[in-house]
Amino acid sequence: MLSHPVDHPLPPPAPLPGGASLDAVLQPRLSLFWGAHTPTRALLTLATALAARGCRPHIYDGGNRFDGYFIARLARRISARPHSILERIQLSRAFTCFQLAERIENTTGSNEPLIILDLLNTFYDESVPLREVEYLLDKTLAHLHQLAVSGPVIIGAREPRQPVQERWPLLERLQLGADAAWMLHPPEASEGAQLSLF
Amino acid sequence: MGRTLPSITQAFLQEQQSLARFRRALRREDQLALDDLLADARQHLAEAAYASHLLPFEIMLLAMLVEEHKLVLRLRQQIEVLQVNLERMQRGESPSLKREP
Amino acid sequence: MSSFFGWLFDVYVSADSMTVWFIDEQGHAHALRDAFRPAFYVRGPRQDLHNVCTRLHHQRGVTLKRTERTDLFLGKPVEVLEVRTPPGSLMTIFRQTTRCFPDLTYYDGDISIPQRYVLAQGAFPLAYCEVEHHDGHIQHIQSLDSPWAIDYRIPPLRLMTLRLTGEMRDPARGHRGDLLVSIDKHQFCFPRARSRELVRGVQHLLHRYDPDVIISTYGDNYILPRLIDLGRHFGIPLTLNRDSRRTVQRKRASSYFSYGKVVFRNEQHLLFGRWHLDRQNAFLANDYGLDGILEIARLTGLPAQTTARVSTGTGISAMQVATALRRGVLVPWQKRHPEDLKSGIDLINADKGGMVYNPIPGLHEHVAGLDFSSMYPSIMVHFNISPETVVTRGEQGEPVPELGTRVLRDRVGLVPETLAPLLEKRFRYKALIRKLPPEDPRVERYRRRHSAHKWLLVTCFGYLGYKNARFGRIEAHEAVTAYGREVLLQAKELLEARGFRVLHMYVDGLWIHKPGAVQTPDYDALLDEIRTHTGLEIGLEGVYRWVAFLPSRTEPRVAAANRYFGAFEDGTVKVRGIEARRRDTPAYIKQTQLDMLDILAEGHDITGFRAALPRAINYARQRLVALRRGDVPLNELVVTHRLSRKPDEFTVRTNAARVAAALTREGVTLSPGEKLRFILVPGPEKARPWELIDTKTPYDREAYSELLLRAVESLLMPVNVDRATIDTWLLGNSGYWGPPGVLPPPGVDIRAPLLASCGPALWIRRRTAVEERTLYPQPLGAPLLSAA
Repeated sequence: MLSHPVDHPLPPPAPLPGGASLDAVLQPRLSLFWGAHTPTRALLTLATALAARGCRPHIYDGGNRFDGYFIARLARRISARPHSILERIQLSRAFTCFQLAERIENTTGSNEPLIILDLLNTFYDESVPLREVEYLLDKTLAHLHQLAVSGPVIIGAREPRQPVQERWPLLERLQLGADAAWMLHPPEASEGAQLSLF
Repeated sequence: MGRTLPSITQAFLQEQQSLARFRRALRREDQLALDDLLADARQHLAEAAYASHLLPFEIMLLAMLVEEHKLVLRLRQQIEVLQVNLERMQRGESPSLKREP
Repeated sequence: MSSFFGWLFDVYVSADSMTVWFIDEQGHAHALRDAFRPAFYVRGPRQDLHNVCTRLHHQRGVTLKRTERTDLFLGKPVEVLEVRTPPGSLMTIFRQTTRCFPDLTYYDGDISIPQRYVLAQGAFPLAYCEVEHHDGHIQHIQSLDSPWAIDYRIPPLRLMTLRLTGEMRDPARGHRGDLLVSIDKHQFCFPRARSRELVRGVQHLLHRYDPDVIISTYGDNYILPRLIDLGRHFGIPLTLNRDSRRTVQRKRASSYFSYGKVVFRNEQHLLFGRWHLDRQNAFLANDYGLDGILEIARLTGLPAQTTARVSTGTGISAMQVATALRRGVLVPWQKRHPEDLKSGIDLINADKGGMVYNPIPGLHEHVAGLDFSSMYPSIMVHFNISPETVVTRGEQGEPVPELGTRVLRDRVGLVPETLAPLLEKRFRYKALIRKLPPEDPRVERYRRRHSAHKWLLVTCFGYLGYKNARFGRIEAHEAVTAYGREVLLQAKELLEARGFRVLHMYVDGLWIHKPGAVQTPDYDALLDEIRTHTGLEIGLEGVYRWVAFLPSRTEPRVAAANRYFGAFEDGTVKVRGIEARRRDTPAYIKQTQLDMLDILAEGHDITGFRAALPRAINYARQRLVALRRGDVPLNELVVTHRLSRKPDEFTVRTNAARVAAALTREGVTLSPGEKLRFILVPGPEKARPWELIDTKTPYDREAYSELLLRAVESLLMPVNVDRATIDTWLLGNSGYWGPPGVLPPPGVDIRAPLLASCGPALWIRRRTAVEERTLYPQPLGAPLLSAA
């Protein structure tokens, strides 16, 4: 997967937030990054780094958080062609848990990395009963495991906020279901911290 | 607005934020000048949004230049009026707002 | 068999059939039954469908059939299992099936049964029909009416109103009063101390007058539940329903967290055979009244009790569902269709909203306001944008500007098909309102219906519109905004080519100016050209005598996109974003600002505006004096605030927090999303709930004066008058330039001392919040020349 031509010679990979290593995360497995807030910046940085190396990561956005400008700024710093980096990133947004589940179910396995932003956000929606949402999450997790056999699957998720405490079991299911899970602390202070990846 | 990307205003504020250290180190009068430039850039956020440029900061620099140039044109106009009036006064005539002698 | 002519009034499920109420020409109500067997559909692997059959076939009244129907997104017929049931059991059987077989795809599962029944008969609520019946059962309904009719007759409805005496305050929050019942020009008052007589009296009136509609104030959350309780307590049967076999349907209030926001649904009490409408719970009913509610019921196919209470999105959604049902297209149950994959570049290009300029700030004269009528719905119709017509791959269809997607033109989309007749009807009402003399009784009716349409259309597009709407699709949303920007920019190019200048642009409107173009006919040629070029309808909202664009509150050097006010040619005033338009402003302040605007509107241009200032200031001073004397009635000083969280979640003691706490102490339960009304009071209490106020409560004169002064400041910002000057004028007694309201010539600082001998060109203006850029150049920093 890392045999595509690169724009820039890159320094050896440094640890990701939480102490995870790039190598560990890029194996065919299901990795989870979670915290009080969903680690979108870290995952977008990861996606940018991967695209810079020539990969074509897929991003499924369950929290409406895809910050294209952030990626563009980062891409500009590490490459002379930010445009091609952004072109290599393929994105699909989901606004209901059914959409996210359907998107994941319709994904065929590949060795390209799959990154899911804020997986649980749509599952926390109180207009869908807890029982339905639990069932849907189990089904989705099963499919994600299947996908993780062929390539890395990296998931970001957050804890439920105050009004929806009854939904904690969803996060627990996710934690148990992942091959590896890292908990992250409150949001990064500045963009400078992200460059430790390089 | 509820869209996915940060709004152009948010993108602008982020750029402004990234200039915070530079601004802090500037003398007070230079800070005011920088604030004027940033305010100028803010006049054209809608156009920057439409441009969908990957790096909004580049468009903002252009917007600052546009406003600066407009100011230069206005000043030039003002100077021309003053020059004309100076000449008129030297000739003993009363001042006028027109540019021609 | 017999028949009669009448209007369809109410429809609901009764066990295994439908009960349908009609009101005939004489005003009599008829209740009839009709058989109806709706169906839902299931798609999936054969084996799974077979299992569904096994599970369902023994259930009472269920018939199963294998058939083919069209899925909108797939665009072609698919094999489905049809499950037809008695009307009363469809929801239950549907829920059971989805629970047992959650992996299958379901259609037509959660559509209102009354809506489906009425549609199946080729009719709609309040349609005028000929009804054939025999032995209490409907044989045939023939609709003689159309929802698209411009003029239509409504049934002779007998209205009964219920409210409490005293100010309109929420009785559930402590207000107490006697019960006032009006019907047929009679009014009855029932003292609350004598509750048994009260219930008996209401029951007697219900029985004697048999009203068709009960219009209450606070009926949903207080009056009806109290009446029902009292009836039970005293053992007096209360026939609020005409259908005595039913009990009043109660829907609890609920507050839930969805899509990042708190949604609050008020309590509801719904009747059978009769309508209950609650003024306090009626969505926008003040704008369009009963006429509007009836119009929406006719258009959407939803019963009037529902349309009076629906929240955004439901109306248009119901119309889309109706179109789908009529077409024979399956209505998806859960919104599943995800966004097609797009690159990061595509997203940056597509994820924009409407074009919103920062206007050129300050005061302008002879400005024309142009706007595209119902822009987004018109775009959907004109360019055929619908969830199933927007394609992301392939070469078929028209390319959408800026994006890489295309729109198929070989078939009419579901959404355009739904919207086109509505836009057409709206257009005709608008033309009629303009054409008819204002005293014509039809004008008010048309205006209300037109207003109701606006509400419907506004909710057909919007972020939530595609997020959880059945027929929403983000690519369609993006295509619509792309066309919106394109059309606006095309209009800009056309008008600039004709020598106009754009002062402001806002999604579907433009403010333009050309020296010499001061009256309506000057714009005709331009409008025609824009219409021809874009294909969309654009109109002249009016020519402003003057219009002021205000600075943004957070960044005063930049003008705000939606804070402005102006006076049209005919003297009417348009206001956006300032106190008079904000929902939380007390009525007294709002009225002061509006009255000041009326005075300023007498000026025909900028000079006129400035000349009218002294009078406006004078008026403001009178209002301020009355306020500071304590003369203003309390009901004009009510501040409104919508709760964003539960009372115990407040961390800072804002006024809203104090009020919420006070009400909670009184035993009132408050949910996020509910409105709070309160008065600012002096002392540490700061704010007291409206429901706990009595006539002797003093109000905080300083706090309200501050609000009023701020409201005045909003109006005077465009002429560089700041708070210090306003305070001098209104609280003191003079100004540097003469009596309060008199301004120095443009370009001169209002706080510089009076010096009559110097001309304007030598004075350097100090930099202030808003610059009048049009007339005079601006010096930067230190003066170029010092005063001679």
